[in-house]
Amino acid sequence: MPHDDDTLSKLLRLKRHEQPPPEYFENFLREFQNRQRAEMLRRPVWRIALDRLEAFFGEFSTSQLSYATASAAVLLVAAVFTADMLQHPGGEGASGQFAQAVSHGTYEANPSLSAPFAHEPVVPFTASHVAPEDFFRNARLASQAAQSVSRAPAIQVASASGEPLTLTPKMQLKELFQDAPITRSGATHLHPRYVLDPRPVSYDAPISF
Amino acid sequence: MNEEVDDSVLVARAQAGEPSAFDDLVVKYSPRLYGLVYNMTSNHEDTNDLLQDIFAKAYRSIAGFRGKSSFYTWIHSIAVNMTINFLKKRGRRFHMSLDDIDAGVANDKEFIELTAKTTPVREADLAELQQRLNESMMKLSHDHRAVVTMFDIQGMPHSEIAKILGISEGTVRSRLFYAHRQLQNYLEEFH
Repeated sequence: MPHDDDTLSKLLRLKRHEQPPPEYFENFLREFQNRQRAEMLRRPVWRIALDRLEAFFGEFSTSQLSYATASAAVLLVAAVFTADMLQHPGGEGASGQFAQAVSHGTYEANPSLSAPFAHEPVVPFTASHVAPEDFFRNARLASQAAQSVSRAPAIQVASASGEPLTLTPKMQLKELFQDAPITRSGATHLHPRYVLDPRPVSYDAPISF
Repeated sequence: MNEEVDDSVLVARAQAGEPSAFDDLVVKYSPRLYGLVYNMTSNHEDTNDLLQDIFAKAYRSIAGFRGKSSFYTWIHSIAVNMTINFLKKRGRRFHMSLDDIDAGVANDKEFIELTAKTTPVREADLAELQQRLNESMMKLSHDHRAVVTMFDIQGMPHSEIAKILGISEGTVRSRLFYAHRQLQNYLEEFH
């Protein structure tokens, strides 16, 4: 038998008659509804969202490469943000910078934080006899003042004796105390600070074997 | 044209949260999509499962359907893509469970021509030839089989196939030509 293109096309067209029995399509909708209800109970939301995204892109007949491009773009943005966060682990906020400054003993300039505190008066102090609350308040104000002057090499704050105290943006905390007589006797100048253990030692269970 | 208007109305109702509208779409398209999926998988059970998944996916995605293409093209795209993905996963692990040719074939023009007394093909030969053709179809690549199914079996125009597959009409014609050549070669081997 010759298998020319015409005969082949006729043979292929006969395959249209390969159909399931008529009752199949009558039951199909009912089966679909049952499976749909069952699926709603177990399908995660992210999977539904992914299906919708695929259908959205599929409508525009985009190639499979588009999905790869979109995924690569998302990964790139995530990588940029991660790298930025690693470079600034303390965050961009005032609390982050202040915490970073205290932990490293330095003050970093940030001009964006100066305006809200410009009106606050500086309390004169010397490191040798300042009350803790005044010290931290002045340190905070000094930090903010330093931040208010962009790229300022140094600033001055008033001390109790009238001598100007120079603060540089990279000043170490210990330099503030270098002239202060901080010894055991120096405790008479500083307000004592006690830290109470939240649980007395006597409450600890004895070590037994 | 009227069919497209009807589809768009049903789609709009389904998007508005009317499940019965989507049921109407299922009833309307399930026989046609069954033919598409079945002739690509050659297995009734696989076709049934895939058809359920196709309509389930369409229902979940119907809210995102913006009408850039017709619903007909959209649902066929989902069906072809899901079937090809399924065939890639299935590999060669399958058995053919072809449906019988229904009684309507006796009135088909092609059937009458092929079994006419003037041709050397008898009905028994034709049945055997059909079986061989089915086996030959399964030797085609998934992409070629999809094109043959849509053009030769379902009678879709080249332009519609191109839209569904997201390829050019030239590529559709090229795949058809190559697939026909392959099928003819496979059928020649039986004689």
